[in-house]
Amino acid sequence: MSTSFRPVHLVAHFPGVNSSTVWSAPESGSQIDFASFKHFAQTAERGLFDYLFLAEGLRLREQNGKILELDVAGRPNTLSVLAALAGVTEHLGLVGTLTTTFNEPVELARQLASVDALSGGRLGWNVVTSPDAFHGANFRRGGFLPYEERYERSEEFVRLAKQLWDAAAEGRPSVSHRGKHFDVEAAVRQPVSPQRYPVIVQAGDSPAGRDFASANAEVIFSRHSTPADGKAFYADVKGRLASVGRSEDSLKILPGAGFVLGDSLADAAENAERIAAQQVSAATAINTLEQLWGQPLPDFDPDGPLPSFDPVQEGVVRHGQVRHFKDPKAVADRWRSQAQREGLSAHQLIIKNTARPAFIGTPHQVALGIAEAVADRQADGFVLVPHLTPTGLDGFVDTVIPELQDLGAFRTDYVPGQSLRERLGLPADPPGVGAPDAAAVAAGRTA
Amino acid sequence: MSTTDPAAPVRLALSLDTANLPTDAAPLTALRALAEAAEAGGATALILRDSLVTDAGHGRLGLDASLAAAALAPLTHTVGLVPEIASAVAEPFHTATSTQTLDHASLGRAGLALRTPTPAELVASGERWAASGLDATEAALATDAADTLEAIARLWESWEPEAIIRDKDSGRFLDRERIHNPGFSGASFALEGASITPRSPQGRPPVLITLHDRTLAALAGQRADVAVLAPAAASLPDDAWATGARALADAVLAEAAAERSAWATAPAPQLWLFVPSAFGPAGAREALRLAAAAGLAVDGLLIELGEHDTTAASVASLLAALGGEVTPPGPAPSGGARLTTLRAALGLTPALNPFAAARQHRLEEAS
Repeated sequence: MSTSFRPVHLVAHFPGVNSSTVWSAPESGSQIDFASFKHFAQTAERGLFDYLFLAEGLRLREQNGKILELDVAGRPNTLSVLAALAGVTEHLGLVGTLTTTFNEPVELARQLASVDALSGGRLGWNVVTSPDAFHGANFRRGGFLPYEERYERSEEFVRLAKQLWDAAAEGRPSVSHRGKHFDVEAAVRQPVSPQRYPVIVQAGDSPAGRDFASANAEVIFSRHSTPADGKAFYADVKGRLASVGRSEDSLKILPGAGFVLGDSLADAAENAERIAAQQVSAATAINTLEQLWGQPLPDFDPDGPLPSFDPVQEGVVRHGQVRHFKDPKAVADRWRSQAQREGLSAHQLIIKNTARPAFIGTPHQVALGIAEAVADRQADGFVLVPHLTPTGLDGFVDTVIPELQDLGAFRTDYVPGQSLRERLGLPADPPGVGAPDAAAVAAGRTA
Repeated sequence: MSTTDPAAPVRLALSLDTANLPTDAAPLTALRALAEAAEAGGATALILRDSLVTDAGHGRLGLDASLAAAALAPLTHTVGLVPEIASAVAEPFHTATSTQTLDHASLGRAGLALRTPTPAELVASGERWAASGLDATEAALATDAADTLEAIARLWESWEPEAIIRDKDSGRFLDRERIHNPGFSGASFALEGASITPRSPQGRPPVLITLHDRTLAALAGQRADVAVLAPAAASLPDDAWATGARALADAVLAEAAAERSAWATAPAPQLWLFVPSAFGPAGAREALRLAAAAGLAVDGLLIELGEHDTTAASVASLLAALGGEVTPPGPAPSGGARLTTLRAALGLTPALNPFAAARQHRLEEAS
């Protein structure tokens, strides 16, 4: 192999609460039992992954005021699972999503310092915002935060947390802070965070989110996993860094990606079709159509054609999940003509149009696809999202990791005692309390 | 009140300030060594005391108690894990799910020690309390603590045990009829939606409330599973201390008799004595004797570990010295964990989900 690949970073995403996680297969296990998290984490560690990633749940999803029944639902508390995993893993990074909207800095900063200390410097924090009344109804302050102030509070939150981590590291007894969103006086009681700050991860995709990430984040969990899309996003975000004095390697871009393996390309493609059919039950297909058509379809036959009438705008309100039907009428027209052209029932059509994973093929082909995408600067690595709990990563670790190693694109061992920041190849000095902020990034971008 | 036989063994738990862990080892190594010594010595539970900010009585390096407990969950087998949480400065939703997760990860050994916050914690906590618009009076904080426990119990029971159905025929993972939004509204906060976490092994992990004076007597009497009596103490227990403990016990039991939460499984809380580290093993024994002489029936001793008594060796020798006063440890683990919930270890009856019980009742009526 003459090609010299860049080192690939890999993240193990614990399967989530949406229809891409298959719960109906015989091998589908509990998404709550700690044994599932332990198996998943230890598998990722066996595969020398950079870190494990856990999302956060603040409220069960609802549609038209009713709890959604069709997808896997229910999660444990993110921080508690990460803390429990600290003792059953040794090297694996542990990263969780935690909102800046319904947490408070003094509490969360010491919780994060605690997990970083318990894990010996393996923690990362995926910083998200959740400024809406639906989630707010589960918290003391309710839906208090205007949407357009979500990143402003986030940035003040992260920088106040860094003040607290600095104070613990430097032995300063107290922190006082007065800003737009926080007015806090705290006598610091928390362990010194071994990494000083946990690695800051960010997943927002809006212009404001990208500015926030360019100023504050060290990893972006992006949704841009296709080659062209990935390359454009990579260039855009990395291009913002110079204006705030950051190097290109100080912010890693790791898109989320699914994978399906097989003995041959055809076998893998067949497996992908089978999994898509498991992901889209008849009930899920009808639910998808109800969202697009904007109304309940109680007697709809999914084995027949799509509805012949047109969708109504905004008739079905789903809470707790972002949906992407911007022009329902246009989508319906497109789907109807596709179904007619290809002779598909409504159910078959929804299965067919369900997004296929980014990587489908033999272990060698998948390894090569990942290594080439990283070499081509579409990404610095990937957040792999298996479709099964808790064994969805087993095959990848057993077969793809050795191929990646053979390509020279992936580590062959952990460096003992390495922090998560070191493992990710990030600079030792992440943006500090006084680093240029998101507004500086925005100014640099428009100048 | 019945008199206990001072010679009869009582249950024993250990209380530790998370800031007082030995610093010569990694935090998890020190914590694990201590917990293993507590288990080996037959302790029923480990209470992890905590504070959002430091004060004169605390060291600086305190781990978050709920996360320290979570880290211990997969590394221990028999000991109950009970983090202390301050009400009003915590989110009831987060507290409910972190306790449920601790219960899942420990296979039923979670508890919750609730106290009201200090003024310094209120200042450090951002807008959580301020959002209520209420003055932080003793009464308002006590009401908030009661509301916190009510909201948390509703969250803990918001999923029936069989809510996850995985029904392939209908394509449904959940049965939404078996999930119940708490719809709680109190003076200082409201909480609408169900827990994000399915029901945990114990359903309702035991709630422990410590009383230094009568301020929380109503809260403990109405809602605690375990009331810990911690009257003002000199360096050794004396008659005044025993009288103080008896007075706190009387206050708690009177409150329980007057009003008891429907979530409680016993008509009154268990009464445990807080044994300050200064008492030492001899003082603990003397405390039991004095309490019995004062007519106080005690269910357990909560022994405080002193600032320098948190090594595995100190814990082992303390528990050995207390020998006869402690309930013997349960049967030795055979081929793995001894699967005892904290509720069972405390002698509490299992908590039943009320919605599932009502469903069962309707089925029986119909048949």
